[in-house]
Amino acid sequence: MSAHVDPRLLEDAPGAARREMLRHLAGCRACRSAVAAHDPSLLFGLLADAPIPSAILDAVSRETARRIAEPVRVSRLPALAAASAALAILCGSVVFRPESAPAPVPAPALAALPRANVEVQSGAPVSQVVDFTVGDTQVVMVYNPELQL
Amino acid sequence: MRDDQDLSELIRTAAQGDRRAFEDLVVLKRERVVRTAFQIVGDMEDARDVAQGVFLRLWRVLQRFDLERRFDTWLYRITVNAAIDFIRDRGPKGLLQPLPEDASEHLASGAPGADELLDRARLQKTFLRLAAALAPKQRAVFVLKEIDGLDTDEVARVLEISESTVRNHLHQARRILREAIRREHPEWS
Repeated sequence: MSAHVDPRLLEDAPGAARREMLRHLAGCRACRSAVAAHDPSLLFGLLADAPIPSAILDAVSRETARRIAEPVRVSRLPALAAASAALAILCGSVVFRPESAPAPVPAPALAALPRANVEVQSGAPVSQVVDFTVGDTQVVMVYNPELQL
Repeated sequence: MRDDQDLSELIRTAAQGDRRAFEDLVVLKRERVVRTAFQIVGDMEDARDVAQGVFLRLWRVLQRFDLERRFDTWLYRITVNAAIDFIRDRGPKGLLQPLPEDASEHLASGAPGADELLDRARLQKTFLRLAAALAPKQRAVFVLKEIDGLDTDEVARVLEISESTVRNHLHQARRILREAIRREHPEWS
């Protein structure tokens, strides 16, 4: 039987020395009591070789083997996400367009808008001034048949 | 027992996509992975799930492993990170359910020098219950250092923290556990 364990040495013992102390501790009640009195948390070192149920180990092997044997599936997630985003934008623009478009200006309001007075002061003969104003956008065309480009 | 050369060959073959070699590697390392995961997550079924995740990840990244480095350190890192992520997602948990029957029986009857006061099954249950009070990193340091028996420098490499941080986490973990044992189990000392 190895020498009794000094609890203060067990605290900082490295690798092999520590394993030797724990082996002794597992079989020596007096040393366990001494360690418990010094720092009972050191007794948890005795859990180092706690057995793991074979059913758990077999399940790990079995499930791992099954999963790595599965054919690699190419993820379609990015393509689906892009398609969903495009669809959402399209639907959103259709659904929300009526709300986001500017409200039509009532006819009386249009009539009340100030209109620019177009007057051509270049030399004669200016034949025509044509007003294409639509709604609140004023468009005026000045037409001169003598102008040569 | 495989020597380092055999292990390197097994890793190299598995990294090339040889499923049989990888399954041999799983058999070789599964007990250590499950045990470490179990002590951190505190539940055998959860530990099994963590271990399966660890080996699936290992299968995907094994080709990146540098054979000049220590495989066990790398595997510990993957395991501890997976276990910490698991308990962060799930939240802390004491021993809410008993150990599986065969584990409890094995622990109780097979423990050398077991006595009424400190048989290993009770020791295990006590650890799982009290360790729920530790922060994930504190718990990981305690498990790696005190239960798995790694040296301070290796714990630091596994967790990618400084040795002084390891010592600090260990000091805090020991203090929390020591106070809890003395409060809840005065008969121990």
